[in-house]
Amino acid sequence: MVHSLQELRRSASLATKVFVQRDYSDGTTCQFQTKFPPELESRIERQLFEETVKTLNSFYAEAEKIGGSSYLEGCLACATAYFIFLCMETHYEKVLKKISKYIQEQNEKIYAPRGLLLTDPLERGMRVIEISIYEDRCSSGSSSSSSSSSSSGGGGGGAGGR
Amino acid sequence: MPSSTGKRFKPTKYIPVSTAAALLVGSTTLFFVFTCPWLTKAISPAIPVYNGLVFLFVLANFSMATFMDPGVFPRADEDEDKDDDFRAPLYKNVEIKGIQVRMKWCATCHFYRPPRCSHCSVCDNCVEDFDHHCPWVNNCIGRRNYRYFFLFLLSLSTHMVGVFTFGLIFILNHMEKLGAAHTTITMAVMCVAGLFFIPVIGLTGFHIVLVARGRTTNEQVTGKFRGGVNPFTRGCCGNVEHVLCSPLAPRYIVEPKKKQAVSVKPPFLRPDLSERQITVKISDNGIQANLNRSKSKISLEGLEDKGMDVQPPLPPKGDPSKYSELKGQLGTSEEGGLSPKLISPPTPAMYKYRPAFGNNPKVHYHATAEQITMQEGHSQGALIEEDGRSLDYQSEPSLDIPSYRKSSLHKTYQSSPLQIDSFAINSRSLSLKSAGRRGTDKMPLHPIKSEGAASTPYKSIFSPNSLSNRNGSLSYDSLLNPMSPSGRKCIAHSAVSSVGYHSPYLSAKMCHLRGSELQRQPPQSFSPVLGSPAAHQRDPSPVRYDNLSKTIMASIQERKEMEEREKLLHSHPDSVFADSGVYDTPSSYSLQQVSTLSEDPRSMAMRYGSRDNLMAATSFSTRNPVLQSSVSSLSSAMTRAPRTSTTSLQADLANNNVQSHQALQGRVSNGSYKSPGHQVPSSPTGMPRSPSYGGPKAVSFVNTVEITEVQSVGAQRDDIQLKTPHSKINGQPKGISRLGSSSSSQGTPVSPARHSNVKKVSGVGGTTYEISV
Repeated sequence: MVHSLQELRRSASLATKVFVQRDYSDGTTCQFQTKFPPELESRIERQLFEETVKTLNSFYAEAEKIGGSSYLEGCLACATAYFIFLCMETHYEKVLKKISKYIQEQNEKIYAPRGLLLTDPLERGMRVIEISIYEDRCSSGSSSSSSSSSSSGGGGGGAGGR
Repeated sequence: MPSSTGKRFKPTKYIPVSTAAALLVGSTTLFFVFTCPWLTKAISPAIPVYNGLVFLFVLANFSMATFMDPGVFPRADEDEDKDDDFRAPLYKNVEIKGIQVRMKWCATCHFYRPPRCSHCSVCDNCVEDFDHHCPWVNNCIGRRNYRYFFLFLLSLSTHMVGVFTFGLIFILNHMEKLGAAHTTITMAVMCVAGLFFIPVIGLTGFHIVLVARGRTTNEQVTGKFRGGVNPFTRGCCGNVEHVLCSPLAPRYIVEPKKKQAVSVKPPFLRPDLSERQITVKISDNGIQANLNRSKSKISLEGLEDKGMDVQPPLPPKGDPSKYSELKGQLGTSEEGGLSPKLISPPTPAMYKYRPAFGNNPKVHYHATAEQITMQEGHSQGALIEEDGRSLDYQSEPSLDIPSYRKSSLHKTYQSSPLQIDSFAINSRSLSLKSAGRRGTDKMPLHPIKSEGAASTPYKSIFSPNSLSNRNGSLSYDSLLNPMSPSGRKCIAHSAVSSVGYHSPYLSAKMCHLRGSELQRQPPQSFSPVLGSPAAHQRDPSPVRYDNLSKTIMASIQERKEMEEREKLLHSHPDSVFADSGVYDTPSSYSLQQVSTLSEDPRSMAMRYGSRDNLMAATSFSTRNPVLQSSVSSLSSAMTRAPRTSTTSLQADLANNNVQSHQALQGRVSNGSYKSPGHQVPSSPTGMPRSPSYGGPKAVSFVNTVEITEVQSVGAQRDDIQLKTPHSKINGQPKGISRLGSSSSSQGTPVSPARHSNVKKVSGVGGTTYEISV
């Protein structure tokens, strides 16, 4: 019983944040470094992380690709004196939506269970992928002294034992 | 009359926009009202249609350029700022298509401005692909609206040409009645169009060129790619295509952050490593773990910063070649080749290495030890780094080394052209290097620069004060005091070292440096130099450093801040590795001493000096037990009565005879022996953290270091042992020189720096300092 109570009291607190920087080696097209941040070493498998970043990069590459649709869009916008922007979302925005959906999904499936959260790079001006690392307050080992106060409360952790 | 579309909310800011809009709309309307009807009748109804379309296009682009978000970066959150906390470097280098581009830290937005981004002072925002702030559209022109701005210019030019042409046709057909209202108004419109045509067409042409070359106005005006390569160009067609057809970039700012529905629930999965494993790892393999950690901390920012230090600013002319050279050398250095590492002069190394190793005392120690034991050691270190697979980490030093090696290598060699003895070279370079490291190490450990043998001289030399200060100690003190955060330490230290023995020697040191710098300077730069050269050496230094001094000071201060922060950060590790911190100081000192000796231009002297040094070290070690007991008392005693040592030293210098030398050595037990003497007192002061065992520990460590070095040098060591008496006798002058140099030990690192500085300033291009500035 005691154990289960402890379990229930568990909540996650934001410990630190890791930022995956942009990779500018190919110019200013949006892509992020796939280098694995060492802070995550104990948190997530390398392949999972890299796959996420690579997928994101491919999304961005798709978004910034100059192709038929972007031509068409530009011409259409010109022809309508850009009023079309009022009622149509651009190719880029569509991809961004896809990206945020993807991030959400990754968060749910992979990152949240590991105490991590990805932030949509768009919210950081596409400069960084922000990864929030959460500490399990009740977990004994991790001694991150800098756990900032913001606790996003996930409530009860687990099945109450009985 | 057409009313101007501009609304004057805030007078001054909106004047240009409203004027532009008023002129545009007003004259066009006049044209439509007074000129077009006749044109429609006389020539074709297509004319007003054409003009109308163009005008609409102009208006649309104008309003897009005016009202569209140019690509403003949202400011970084606090936490991200915290992450970038050691932003000591103002810049961060990033490689774009093989070309170094530097990202400047934006103090307002708290991030490193991405390439091509710039902070608009008018809008107070960082704007992506910043082109310029256009008062005529009252908006920044950036990534998102450049296209519209460009199209606006194009269409406006077309429109103006059209209006002027058709107005001319109208006038030509109404020559007989120029006084009529229609003709007059048409002429007025033509005047407006004609007047504005010149600047507009000029601007349009300018932007056409820019678009074709893939530049922004900002880059063009500030001359970023002057003589260099533009890493952002996609080829002419590609550039045009990019400007006109690339998908519209999204806004960054608007997003009302939708709360993520994902909630984090505590029982976390821990994939590979359990925490226990990690801790174990750290404990039994501290170095590597630390390396990793430091890497992680710095890897993104710090390392690149360091790279920056060394790398030239944006590609000036010689750059690509230099870069390639660096690369080539990189390879060699990575292989653990003796030559590059060894040869590297201390100063740049200090800057370079400090951040890398600065975070972790252990790491420093490790690195230095490796270094001392020579190549194998070093390569090992490199291997370890590689293990961590910190690309940046690794590449950093290697890059750095070649870079300054290139600059200073020749110089150092030139300075000692006679030097043939490989051992001497080795030991010398070694010592230099380690000294540099030392210095760097020390700095992070003890943010108080006072004890930093290596760091202080920088200040003194670079600071504007140095110009005015005749006395080394003066500059030292004055510099230290303002800089060092904790006054007491600095005072204590100054009492110990600077006031006591620095003052006389600093000048000597400077002379010494001078000598090496001038290269052909007569040997007297050595020991006797103390007095005379001091005067003349002053002349060059102020001139050279004038430019740099401010910036360097600034950078130093920044560094200091960083160090302090690091210190805070590493308070835990410090406690754990307290001893590392402890022996850091002394070892650095001794090493420095060696390095200073080796610095001497005369090869022979050098050799002797180094030997003498080693010997001293060994003797020191033998004396160690005595010292250990005495040191603790000594340190305090020394701090209290620094003068005694100095005076004695000075006397020794004056006497310049063996006996005095021996007396000095005898005095070692008292702690006031020679060059090591000052070290001892300084070391305790140097470790604010663990004063308790600082003294003895430090000493012992020194000994070990020296010994290892000796062993590594091997053959030389034998010589030394054999020649102990000889070295004593010969060493006397050397000892003096050593004294001078020891005082200059702090200065030694500077001398190469000066070299490089001078060189680079004079125009070779990228230099550490120039860059760091």
